[in-house]
Amino acid sequence: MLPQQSLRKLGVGINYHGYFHDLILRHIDIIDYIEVSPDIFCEEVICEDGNCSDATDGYNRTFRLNTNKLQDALVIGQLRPVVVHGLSLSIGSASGWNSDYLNILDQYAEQQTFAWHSEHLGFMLVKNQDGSEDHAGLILPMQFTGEALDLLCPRIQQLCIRYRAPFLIENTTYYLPDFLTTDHQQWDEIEFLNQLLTRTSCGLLLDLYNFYCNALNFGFDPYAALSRLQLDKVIEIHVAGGVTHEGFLLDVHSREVPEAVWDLLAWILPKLPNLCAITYELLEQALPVTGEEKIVAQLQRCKTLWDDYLQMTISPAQQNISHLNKVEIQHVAA
Amino acid sequence: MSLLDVQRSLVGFARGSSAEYHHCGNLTPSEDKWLKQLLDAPGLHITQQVQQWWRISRVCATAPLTVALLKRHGLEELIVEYIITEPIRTLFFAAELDQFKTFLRGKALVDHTTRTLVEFEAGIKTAAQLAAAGNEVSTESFSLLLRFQCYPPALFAALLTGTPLPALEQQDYYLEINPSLESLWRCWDNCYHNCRLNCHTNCSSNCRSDRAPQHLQRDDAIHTDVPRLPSKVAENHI
Ligand SMILES: [Fe+2]
Repeated sequence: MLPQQSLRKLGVGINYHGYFHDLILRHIDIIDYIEVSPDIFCEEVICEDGNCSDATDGYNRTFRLNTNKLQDALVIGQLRPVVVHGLSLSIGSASGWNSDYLNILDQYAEQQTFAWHSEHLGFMLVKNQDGSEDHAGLILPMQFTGEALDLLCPRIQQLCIRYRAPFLIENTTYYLPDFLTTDHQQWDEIEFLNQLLTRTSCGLLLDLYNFYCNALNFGFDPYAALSRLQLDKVIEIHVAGGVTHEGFLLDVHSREVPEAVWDLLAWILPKLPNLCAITYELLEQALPVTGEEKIVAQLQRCKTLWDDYLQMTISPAQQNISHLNKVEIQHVAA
Repeated sequence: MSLLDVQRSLVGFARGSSAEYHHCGNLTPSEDKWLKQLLDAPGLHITQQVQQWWRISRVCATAPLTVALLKRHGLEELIVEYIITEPIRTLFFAAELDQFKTFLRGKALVDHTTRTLVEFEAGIKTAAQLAAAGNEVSTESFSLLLRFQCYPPALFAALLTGTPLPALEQQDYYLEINPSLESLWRCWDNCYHNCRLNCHTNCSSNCRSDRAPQHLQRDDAIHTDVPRLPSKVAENHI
């Protein structure tokens, strides 16, 4: 499904985790949707015909969606719309993506409808010559080359039609040095994203915090860079905060959103005609450190900017529809 | 360099291994320069640390008691060595535990208790998964008997609460792991072991060598009231 097919303006949301369940329910009035990573409901099980028999205990194993783990998220899914944000597809792996993730997403899609789904631009796993796999453990950056583009475009197209929901690709944080100095790099990050957005039907999940990390860590002007991006393809925005370690701002989602990212958000919002959602991303372990009050304050600040954005960009008639949708949902919840 | 070669190199570099660089044949001068630059880049060091944090949290979640005991023995460097030298071949936790178990088995610094503990954690994971599989997979064939040199629940409690470890004793303690047990494991005193040895030579129809003998069923086992593993540990294993 194409993102251009009139998507509903959702508003402001937060990534879902079991630890956040009660917090989300307590503040459901300011949370318009939740962003769910089906990976977190995944469990490892022994079965007759699993795809892993590496352990010496001799049993075959597979990954499966644990419906018990899923129940709480389904409850909130009754109250608010859901968008999916994948963690482990490894869409850019030259030796093949992680099909276990798609199996999990297929199982999730049977139980929960979602407005769209997204995945990070990068890769985590490689297959070795002997057929074994190596997992990096974190998302590593793609080279911005023609070969990478040729690999990604058909995969993205596949994802655009696999579910009855559009697919978005998300820009990521990277710490490895700029590949532009090599013969192999053809584009910079912005140009590469534009290529993907031109050649496929996907939309963009613009993670402003990730982008700000890259700008800070590698010394470029985020405003100038974002001005070159196809902003009409931005459907969702992520904001988050992190910590600085050995001179690098890290993508850990453990803190409040930095002021510089709020500034970027305020600057870019009027330029995004098709934006449907702003998500505040937080690591589950950060809940006790950040505290509920600050989390709510972040969501409220997003909400204020979102309301201003709606005033600027959509007609009163559309605003009414957006309002009606919400009333409808609250009615169902009641 | 193909995209695949670049990605293989990056995954190796992120783990802290430069072997992938040495395996890269037919590099052009600019590719060679780029890879060398990459190996010296501060950003690679950050990438390696992020990878290590992720992997350590994964190993801690998989084998929390073993990791705690290694730390008590001041052997944290073995965990780092494990992460650098043993790539993650699959995302299955059982495979990670198995790999960690094999790695520790090959290390002279690792004592009997630590080796037994990692066997225990791997065994509990398998037993929990077998129990959860219900009728889909036969649980008949899985049973483990582990020998400890201290009372196992006292060891687990000390590791979980940060209190002093129990002293090693002359007496052996046996711990049985079996998916058919409600708590998946139970402790036996050394008379079970004697009986078990006897079974090998003098097996009766109701006494299997890999399971508790009939006359030492629940009533005779010591500490039949051994509680389930603390929920934190149990959750990590399920
Ligand atoms: Fe993000």
